[in-house]
Amino acid sequence: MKGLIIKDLYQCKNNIIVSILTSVIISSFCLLFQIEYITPFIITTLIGTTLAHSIITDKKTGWSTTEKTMPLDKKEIIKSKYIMYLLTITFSYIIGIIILEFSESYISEVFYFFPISSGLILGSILIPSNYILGIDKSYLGMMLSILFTIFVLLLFYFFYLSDIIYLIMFPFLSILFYFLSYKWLVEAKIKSKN
Amino acid sequence: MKEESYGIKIENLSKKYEDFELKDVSFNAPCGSIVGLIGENGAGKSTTIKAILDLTEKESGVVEILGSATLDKETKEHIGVVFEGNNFPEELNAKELNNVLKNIYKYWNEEKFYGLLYDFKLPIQKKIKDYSRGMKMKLAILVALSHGTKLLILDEATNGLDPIIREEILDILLDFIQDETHTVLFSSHITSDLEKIADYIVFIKNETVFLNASKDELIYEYGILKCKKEDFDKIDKEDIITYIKRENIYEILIYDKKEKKNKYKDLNIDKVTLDDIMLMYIKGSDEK
Repeated sequence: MKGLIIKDLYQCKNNIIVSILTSVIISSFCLLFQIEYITPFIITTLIGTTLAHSIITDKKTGWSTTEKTMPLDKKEIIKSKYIMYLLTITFSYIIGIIILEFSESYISEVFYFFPISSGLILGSILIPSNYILGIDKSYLGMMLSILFTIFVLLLFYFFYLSDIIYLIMFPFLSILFYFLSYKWLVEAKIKSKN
Repeated sequence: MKEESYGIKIENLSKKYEDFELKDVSFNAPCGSIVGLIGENGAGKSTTIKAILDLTEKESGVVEILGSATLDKETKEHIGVVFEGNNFPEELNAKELNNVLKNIYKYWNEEKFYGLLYDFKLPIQKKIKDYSRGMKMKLAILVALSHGTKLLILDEATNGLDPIIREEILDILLDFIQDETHTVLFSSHITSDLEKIADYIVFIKNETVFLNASKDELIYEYGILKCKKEDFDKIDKEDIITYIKRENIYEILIYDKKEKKNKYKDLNIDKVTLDDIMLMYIKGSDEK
């Protein structure tokens, strides 16, 4: 599995660098217009989807077939994607939070968990959809995952209970979604021969 | 029979798709040999290879690889596979690929990998996407040889390559097979390559194994008898395997060339190539 993570790092490094630069530019505008609170969301989404897109790249380059002939099982292959995605959104979250520190506005502590949690929810749909839908329909997976993430965020926004519940529930639910997504995809892939 | 005397053993392999069905494919690839897999497009060569590598679920049949009935991780450590076209992420260079693969294969031999890179004159820092087609194929083969490989499977790996590169690849395969514990399964449309190096030929026709014989037997025993209509009518019909009529000339595929040369002293019997045999069986008529 270590080899697969290294492969994704090499493969995605250019795209990650471009995403970071894009994020910094967008964040600057956000700071300028005092909507800096969306910065961590943008950065997490931009950089996280770079990694998820590597699943499509693997199919295009023939690597996804080659790796099946290697001493790797399907669980390891999928696990490496989930771990790599987690690493990239954590990294992008840290960048987002650093940028937020430049803001003069007060940001509630509750908010600090939102970007990484929404990143986990995004990934819980994006990763399996990239595997299942394939190259031609990967854009559908992207749309589905973004829409679902917005839906969950709006649910929490409109059904606000208390800061404590937000602090506990939202991260907990996002971790649960992410874990269930991984388990479901592993089961589905083991049953199928593709 | 000692363990692993066969690199591959296949019995009654069947696989069904919506519009295609591979039926009862059986053949063996003995250790120390190169087995060539031939057949027209859509015959079932790639499906057979996918079923061997467990890339597709088979309906029935038994596949044994290197003495193991299950394709477990330890067995996969010793299998090298080369597919036509791309095999690796193209954003990587050879050095990065080495770093990836040494963390995947237990028996990855970094020294051998770099040695082969040097022998094949492949650049280390250049991205794979900037390699030529021949260079990509050489890289795929040398990767396949760099992890304690005992079984090498090539699926149309030399298609579209120039004769010089193909010759280099054939030399690599001949060198690989010097070790009697090694086996090669080589699927190719370029039958002239298989004529040079294969020990056995498996001909897949109509989604099943049509012929399974040693290459020498095919090349030396089969022949093409050419004659006109008058002579064709005199030929014993039992001696005609199949024939093609081209204008006024009949080309007849016969077996046991030596015997037929004695029998039909006045008629011309030419040597055959694997292409000829394939063409005659696919296009020929057996109406007598």
